[in-house]
Amino acid sequence: MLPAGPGRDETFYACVPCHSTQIVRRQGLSRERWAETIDWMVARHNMPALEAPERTLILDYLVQTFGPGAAAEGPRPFYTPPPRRNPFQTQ
Amino acid sequence: MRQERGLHELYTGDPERADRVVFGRNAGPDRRGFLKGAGLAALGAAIGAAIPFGRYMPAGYLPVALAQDKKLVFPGKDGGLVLLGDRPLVAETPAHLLDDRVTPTAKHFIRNNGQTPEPVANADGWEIAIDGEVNTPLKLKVGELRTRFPVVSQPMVLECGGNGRTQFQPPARGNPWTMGGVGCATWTGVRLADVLRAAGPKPGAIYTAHFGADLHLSGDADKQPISRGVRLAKAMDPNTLIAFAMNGEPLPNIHGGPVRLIVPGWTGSASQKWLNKVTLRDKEHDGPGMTGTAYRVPVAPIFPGANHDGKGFRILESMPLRSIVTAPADGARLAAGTRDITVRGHAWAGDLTVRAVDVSVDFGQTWVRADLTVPANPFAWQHFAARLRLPAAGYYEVWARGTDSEGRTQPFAAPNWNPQGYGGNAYHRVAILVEA
Ligand code: HEC
Repeated sequence: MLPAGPGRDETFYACVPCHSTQIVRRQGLSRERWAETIDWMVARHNMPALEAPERTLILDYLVQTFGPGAAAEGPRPFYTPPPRRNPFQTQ
Repeated sequence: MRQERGLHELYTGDPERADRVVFGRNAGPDRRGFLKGAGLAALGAAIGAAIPFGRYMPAGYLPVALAQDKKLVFPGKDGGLVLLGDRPLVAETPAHLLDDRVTPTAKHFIRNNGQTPEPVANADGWEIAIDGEVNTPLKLKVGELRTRFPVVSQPMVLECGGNGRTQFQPPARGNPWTMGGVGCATWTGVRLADVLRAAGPKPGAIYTAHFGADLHLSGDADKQPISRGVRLAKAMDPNTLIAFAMNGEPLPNIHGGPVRLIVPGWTGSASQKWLNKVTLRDKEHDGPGMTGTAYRVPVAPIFPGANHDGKGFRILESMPLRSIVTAPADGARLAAGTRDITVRGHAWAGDLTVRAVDVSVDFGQTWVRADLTVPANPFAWQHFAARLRLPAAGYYEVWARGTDSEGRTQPFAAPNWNPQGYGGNAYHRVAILVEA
């Protein structure tokens, strides 16, 4: 099951029609990569597009609960620390 | 268990801080911290043993002893398989269950992409079509395949394209395979090349497209869960099979029966399950799983964690070199006084072969060259074994590192970060404990 938090129920109902929450719970992704994942569900996998307030709520929940810093479920045996930030990123 | 989870979370968030908090060690400028004093004692307490080579443990490194998982429950499958996803069904085999030279069906990993079809009662009546850029489109029943074409039977490696994905940091998207998305079962079937020749590829045919009978997860019958293909040369390789048996038994439904492709040494997704059609094309295939970042890796490395749409990436074809330690088992407790152990396992390298395997019990300070067999046939994995000395009681990790026939060795950390985490072929590591 998905852990408690704002947007939990919306996320649950948006994401379980096709697969279990296991595939969601086992990721640890940044906001950009979650957004891209949702877009991909819509573009390639028949997910109905999420409208603005709900999309933001779900995205917030995913990043909060399954962001890169959160514990992704399952064994992740290697922890070679990456650099703290991308020194080559211009912005 | 609570404490393990806490540690796990800490390490995922900020490994170096976790080292400082939990074990009191500081990463040196060369990123190697040294465990000493209270830190060594704390880590020792968490594992439940002293760590004779603790001073060589890299910083930000969560000992393999502190992993966690869930088990698969499925008829005909070993209860030791680890469930990665229940819908679609995905399960991997812990390395110690891969100790057999030929992987028993019960221990072979499972990767489904869509809904699992209902089992078919009359396997011989199942029909496959060959069409597209061919002179004579064919429809063949499985029963006819057996009688019209020579039958081949040999052990070959089948491996999920995402095997090793959990080695990537930041985490890559997809099923969290450790090293168990692989098996080497005996596959029996006819050569895809013979069947394609019977249909007569046109001169323009350069690529295949594979189709299966499984339903997309959304239930939309017009959508394929996955449809990949390979360059014609790989399709014509005499080891690429349309397989109808696995380890001498009719191919089980959960493994793609009545028939599936076996495209050995390449990403498992090319080995279409519940095969019902192969189309020859005059251009690269563009089905689900062929485009974007799916089964593609950067040609020039990108920054780990960077956003990328996959433009300019290359298709992952041959799988990379890997080796796994299948004995001792991860987490094995060895009797007090044990000083010599035999380490064994398998190594494979996609289209290539493995030239050497080295093993270490001192965190890579010294390596011992293992005995290594030659492959039983093309695309069978090779077996290695070595005797190793353990100087004292305590915690050790067995590390294995292969070198392929082109001289490339496995790296310490997963190379060439990519959004979906393909090609993670860092050393396999197994935790063992010699009782005091
Ligand atoms: C209409 C169907 C559908 C819905 C709804 C859906 N997905 Fe998916 N999702 C899929 C399919 C199909 C796959 C591919 C499964 C496979 O190949 O194993 C997938 C795979 C994934 C993956 C794994 C991606 C990878 O790289 O392997 C993630 C993560 C994911 N979905 C997240 C979500 C989230 C989050 C939601 C809700 C916001 C969602 N999905 C809703 C169909 C759907």
